[in-house]
Amino acid sequence: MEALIELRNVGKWYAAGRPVVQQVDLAVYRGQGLAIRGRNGSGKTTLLKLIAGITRPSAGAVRRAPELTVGYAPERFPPVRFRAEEYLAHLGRIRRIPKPELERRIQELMDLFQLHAAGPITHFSKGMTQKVNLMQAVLARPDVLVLDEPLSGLDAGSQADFARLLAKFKQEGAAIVMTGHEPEFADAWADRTVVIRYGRLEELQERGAGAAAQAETSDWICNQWGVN
Amino acid sequence: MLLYTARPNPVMGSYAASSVLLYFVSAWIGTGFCGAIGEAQEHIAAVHTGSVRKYLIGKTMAVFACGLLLSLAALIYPVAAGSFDERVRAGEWLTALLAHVELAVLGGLAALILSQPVIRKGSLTAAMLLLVLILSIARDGILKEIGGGFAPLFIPLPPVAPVVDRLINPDADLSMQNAAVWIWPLVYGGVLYVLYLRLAEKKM
Repeated sequence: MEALIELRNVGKWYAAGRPVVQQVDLAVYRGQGLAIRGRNGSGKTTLLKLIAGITRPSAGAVRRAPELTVGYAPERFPPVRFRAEEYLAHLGRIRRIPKPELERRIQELMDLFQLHAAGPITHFSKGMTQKVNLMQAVLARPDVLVLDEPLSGLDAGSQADFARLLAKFKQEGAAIVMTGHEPEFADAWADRTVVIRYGRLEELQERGAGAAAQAETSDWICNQWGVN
Repeated sequence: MLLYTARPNPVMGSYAASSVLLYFVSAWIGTGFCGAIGEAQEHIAAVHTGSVRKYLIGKTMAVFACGLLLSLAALIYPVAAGSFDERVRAGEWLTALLAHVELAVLGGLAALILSQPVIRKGSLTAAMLLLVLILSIARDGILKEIGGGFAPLFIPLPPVAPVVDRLINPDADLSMQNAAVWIWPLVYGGVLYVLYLRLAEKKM
């Protein structure tokens, strides 16, 4: 199976400091769930940025499939003075999503996340802001979804909605790369779990591969989070 | 508008003043663009744009577009308001346009390259930018005081002083030196732009 994103002997360091990420070999495949676990400061976020193409490696190479689209949700969503629909519409225009399709997609996401609040995002609660963060990441139905601790601030209901969305994305063939402090959730949907320690990948747990594992994962998520 | 509260005014002298003002205003706009967008929002925008480079180019183009619009406003307003003591000739207008655009671009670029994420310590950026802007404008006056031997120290600074000087003392001849006054800021701006893109990409 051809990798959507492949990191070969990748290292990253800033100025003259110690490497944040070093000698990382990792591949992200279509339809795969990849969980990245590690302590605070272990290099998880930098590794996600390398995968999302936000930061360039200081050493090694990152190869991407042609025409690859990526969605990215940072750990801390920045406060913006737009309403949620305006913000999503603005990003959709940057993506050049046709207007009717964009309007449909925004409405679909607003319904899915049950976000029907008026007013600017700066007035939102933490959970509502996190919903907007996730909505912008999945807006363009990306091939690879890169999520930095996406469950932070979400209540149980919203986590279930998000689990349903993740399962749907995986079934549609998107790859999901995610960090998080909820091991039971990560273990549930991830086909592979990578542990990063001091910038190095030290452990690799394989749950299996292929459609059977994906289906099993999706079923588990649905049962665990009460999703039909 | 404040520049033209008294009238009539000399054409090129007034344009020299407005171009210096625009240099500072463009730097302020550039700083505003960098400060208004947090790091996480920059990351989101870069992903949606398709690449960090595309995002950075878009951001700089927005700063330049503001500078261009303000340049046109600075050129047209005094003519429309009848603030000059004589009619503006086409050559003067073109010279003033080039000077305004060059200073707007250099001011914006100076702000971008002396801002985060290129320079991580936010407290230093404003002071460094102000110092660069003042030194680059006052170059000739400072060199007169401390001696021409220090001129090489000013080479890394944006070459705006000769442009402003040429507006105040318009020279009709088209010698090589005269052309260099206008071409060098473009070359300098191009090099600074490439440097900014590389540094900003590396620091992301």
